[in-house]
Amino acid sequence: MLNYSTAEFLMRPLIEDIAAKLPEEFVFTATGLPLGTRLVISLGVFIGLTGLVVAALVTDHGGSGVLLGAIGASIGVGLALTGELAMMLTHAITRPIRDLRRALEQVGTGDYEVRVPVVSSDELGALSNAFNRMAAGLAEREQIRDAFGTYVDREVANLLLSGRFPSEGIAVEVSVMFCDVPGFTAFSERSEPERSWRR
Amino acid sequence: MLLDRAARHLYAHLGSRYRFAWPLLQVPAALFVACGAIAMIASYYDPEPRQVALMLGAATSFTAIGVSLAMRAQSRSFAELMAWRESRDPSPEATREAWVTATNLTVRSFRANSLRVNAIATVPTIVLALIALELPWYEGFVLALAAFPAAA
Repeated sequence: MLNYSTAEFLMRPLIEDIAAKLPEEFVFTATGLPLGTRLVISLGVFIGLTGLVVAALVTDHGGSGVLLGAIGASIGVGLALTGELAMMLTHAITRPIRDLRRALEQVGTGDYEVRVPVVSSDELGALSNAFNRMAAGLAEREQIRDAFGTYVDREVANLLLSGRFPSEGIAVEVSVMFCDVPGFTAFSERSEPERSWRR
Repeated sequence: MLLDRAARHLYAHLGSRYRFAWPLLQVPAALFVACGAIAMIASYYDPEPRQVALMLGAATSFTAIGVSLAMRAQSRSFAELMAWRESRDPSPEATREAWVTATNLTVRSFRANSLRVNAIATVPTIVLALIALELPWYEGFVLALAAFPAAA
């Protein structure tokens, strides 16, 4: 487990380097060791080792009999604590991540109203909160895009909202069509605004 | 974190020799754990210094052999990754393959080698410990159980 963790640390800068050059259409598949498995192994090993070391310190060279007793006690305590503790820790870590993953999939399909519950004030809570703010920002942007799209062409609205519109403007050749509805001006003069809008 | 900073520093400065960071870090870590396990087991038996020295020698030698064999099994993947790093303009396909190799190398090695490495490190050490401590053969199972958490 120690070697697994050190290998992960060593691999990290290389993976970051590779990930920066991955094509956008890259399809991700999860193949790593699940967090729950890591926790069960790590906790079991630490509890077992602690039990054996403590027993070695408090017994006076008791031989195989005492060693076997210490192993039995370590396994007993390890089994009793590791399962429950690992389950609680795994649940506390993986559930917010699972919620976030599902919410991100919904955002990917265009549902910007999705939110995740912020159930803690730690790093995972901060992540959930950041996600909610991001989703709210995307929803607001979509509303602006829709409102803009009512009056200007959708392509123009998209360009303006993309943040890539240069401050010096863009020169393009366009055709402009003006339309008029016969009698609409006279109608709107004598109608309430709501009625004109419906018409 | 110290290990993270050290890894980034080595990655930035070692180039294709970065692959040697694995044995540089993992072999001493494995030897440290092996020595700790022997010290812990020995404390139950009150052995002579020469018996402890024999057990330590066996544990460190076989652990180093086991870890080195595991590293050797990974060498082809490391070579591929370093080749990707050295290439100036890798293709998207090569980058995708490098990512799959890099992200799976640790877990693949863990699944493929952990049992073999532990067997190489512990079985001969336990046999030698039984001889050194003049214990009956069946107490080898007790030593194996005691060595299991350290091996894991």
